[in-house]
Order: sequence, then C-alpha cells, then structure tokens
Amino acid sequence: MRNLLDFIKSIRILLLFLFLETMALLFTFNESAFHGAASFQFFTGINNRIMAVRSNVVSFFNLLDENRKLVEENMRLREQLKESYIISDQRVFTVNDTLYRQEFEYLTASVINYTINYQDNYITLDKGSEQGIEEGMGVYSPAGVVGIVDHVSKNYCLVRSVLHSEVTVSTTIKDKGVTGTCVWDGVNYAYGVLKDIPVHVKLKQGDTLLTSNYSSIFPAGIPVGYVTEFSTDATRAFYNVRYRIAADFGNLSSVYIIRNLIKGELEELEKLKEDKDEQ
Amino acid sequence: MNNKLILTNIFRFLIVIFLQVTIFNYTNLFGYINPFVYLYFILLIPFETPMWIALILAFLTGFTQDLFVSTGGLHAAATTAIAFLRPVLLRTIVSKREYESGLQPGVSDLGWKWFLTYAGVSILIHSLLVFYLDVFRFSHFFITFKHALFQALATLFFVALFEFVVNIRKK
Repeated sequence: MRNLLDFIKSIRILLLFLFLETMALLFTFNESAFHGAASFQFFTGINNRIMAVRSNVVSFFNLLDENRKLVEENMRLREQLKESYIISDQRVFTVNDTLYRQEFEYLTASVINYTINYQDNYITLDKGSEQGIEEGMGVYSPAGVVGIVDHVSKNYCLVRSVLHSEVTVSTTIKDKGVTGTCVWDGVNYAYGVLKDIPVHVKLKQGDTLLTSNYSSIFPAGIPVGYVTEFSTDATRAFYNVRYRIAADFGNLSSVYIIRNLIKGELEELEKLKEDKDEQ
Repeated sequence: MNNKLILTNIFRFLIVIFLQVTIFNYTNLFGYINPFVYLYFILLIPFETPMWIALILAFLTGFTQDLFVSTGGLHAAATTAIAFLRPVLLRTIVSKREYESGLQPGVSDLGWKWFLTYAGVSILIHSLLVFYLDVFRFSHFFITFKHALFQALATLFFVALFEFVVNIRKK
C-alpha cells in the first residue's frame, strides 16, 4: 500500500498533466460539454460584457464604413420595390396584397465577438432569448449570409458562422436554376466551396450564389458568394466550385437575425410524415 | 517566492490577457494570424514555481483564451503541454549561466539568444498543437503547417517586442 502511494506521489505531476489535458480535449471535441455546462454561463456572461464594451468602441470607428454598407443595401432593396418597376403588360393588372403572408421577420443585432481562424468559428451577438431569439435562426449581414444561431442565453446568442465545418447552406446560382450546397473547407476565411452542381450547367466566373428557396432558415435570394474558380470533380458529374464569400468576415458589426414565422407549422407537418413512416 | 514576484506575475497575466482579448484576437494579420501573445505570461512563469502550480496556471491561461474565442479547450490543451515540456526544454537549451535560484526567465538574466530559443521552441510547439488539434485531419497537412509556422513567427515577434519594451523600462 505504501509502495503504491509512493508510486502515485512520484508520478503526481504526470497524473495532473494527463487530467488537465483530458479536460481540455474533452471540451475541445465535445462542444455541448463546453457550451452547455452551467458553470461557464457565468464566465461567458462576464466575457460578453467585456466584449460588448470593446465592440462599442470599435464600431464607433467603423461607423462610416457601416453607413456605406447600409446605403448600398438600401439601394439594392429599393431596386426591388414595386415602384421601381414599370408595368410592361398593359392588360388588366391587379395587386392583391392579401395574397401575401409574411413568412420572415427580421431583427437587428450587433456582433460583439467573433473568430475566423479556426475550423469551427463562432460569432456572439447581443440578442438572446429575452429578445425572442431561438436556436436555428438564420443570420445575415447587409453583404450576405453569416451563419445560424446555435446557442441562446438570456441576452446573448452564439452563432455558428458559415466558417464552421458543420454549417451547410442550400444555394442556387442566380439565373441558372440549379441548387447546390455551400460548405467551408477550413482553409481561407474569404472563400468557400459549392458542391453538387452538375457539369451540364454553364458556369462562369463572377456568377452570383444566392440562398435557395428549399431552406426554411433563410429567405430565398440572400447573397452567399461569387464564383471565382471551378473544375470538374473526380466523378466528372459535378463541379468543384470555389467562391468568394459575400459577407465580409474581416469586418462584421451589424447583422440581421431571421425568424421564420411559419417554420413551426412546417416542422409539425413534416413530423406527421415521420410519425407515419414509423408506424 | 516573494510577494513582489507574485504581484508582478498577476499583473503580467492581467495585462497580456487584456491585450489578447481586446486587440490581438482581432488583428487577423494576412487574413488569419492572431498572435497568441498570452503565451508571454506562461513563458515568464518563474523557474522555482512548483510544477503543479505551473501546470494549473498554464491550463487556466489557455482556458481563458478558449472562453473568449469559443474553442472549447483547444488553447488549454496546448498551453498545458508546453508547461509540461518546459523542464525538458530548459535542460536542453544551454545558457551561459546555470539555472540557479532567484534567476528569472527573461532577457535581463539570461540574454537574448537564450530567450529567443526558449520562446521560439515553446511557441512553435504551441502553434502546431493548436492548429493540428483544431484541424484534426491531415488532408490539409502542409497548409496547416504553413499557418502554424507563420502564426508562431508572428507570436514570437510580439513576445520578443514585449520583452524588449519591458526591459527598456527596467534600465
């Protein structure tokens, strides 16, 4: 017994080292253990407060740039207004607005912390459950898609950015009518990879990638990126497309969070189908 | 260890963490480099600190950075490893003077050549661990190595700069 105690004493530093490493690796590879543990809520609360002060200071110096981006977005949106179009069809024309039902609702939020140089990057926003944020909501900046809400606390939320190994965005190529999946290969924060585009589609550099209407997270038509290069993959049936990510991850400050008002209904409906399958 | 030394270290910890989380986590030099200047604190933990305290301090420093950049325990794993390897590293790097008690790691006691070797090796190990643990697949082996190497160089530059500035003040 004494020998055993002596032995443990002689390797106590090694044991401590192994214990600390195991903890660290557990937190690294088990995200829910890290984000979920109640003891961290306290620390993240403090962190978020410090980060909020920092982002206030930084965003003050970015106001000019931010203004310009918003003006550009306004311009783009104005172009889509009914008033920007002339009626080319001179026959009877009615606009019946009750035909439309609002599907998406937008909330604004400020970025208070973000990373871009890991494999799984996260963004902290200053809105949380008290402001009606829920897991799975889409986030985009005036320039393009940013990410999907992953964890929500009372006043903050943690967003998986599109620079995350597990985030995929359903994407169409503008005016081409094909849909693919955007992923990130973890190499460069400015570029992503678009998969599942069949080779019969005529691609060219600079083609715009937009969110598709298959997603219940993002409304259709938000910019995702711009094609920079493409080649056929090993099967020769699909393209490997590299694209420049539309959102400027080097300089994020104001973003929109998207709430899908009929997502609950959709999910209920799809759940019915699953229940039926099980029977 | 006297109280002044403990206070100096606490003060140093607060300063480097503050600089790390407010400035260096957002610098993005060449698109992806955020120098890990918080390593400056771990590198300068006094030699006579008991090993178990050094390990725990390194873990906590890395973990603080993890909390700020939401990386789980990535930095904690790497910092704990370099703290564990430090005695081996110290035995390998010869200095002009013996590591006698009262000697502090740093330029003023052991000179630039010693400091740059010691800091350089520690920082390189740390950067490689952080980047390879993060990727955890070897398909990007060379590009990850390049990232880690540039990351290490940038970190070493800033750590040496800190050391330089601190020593100007002393003289």
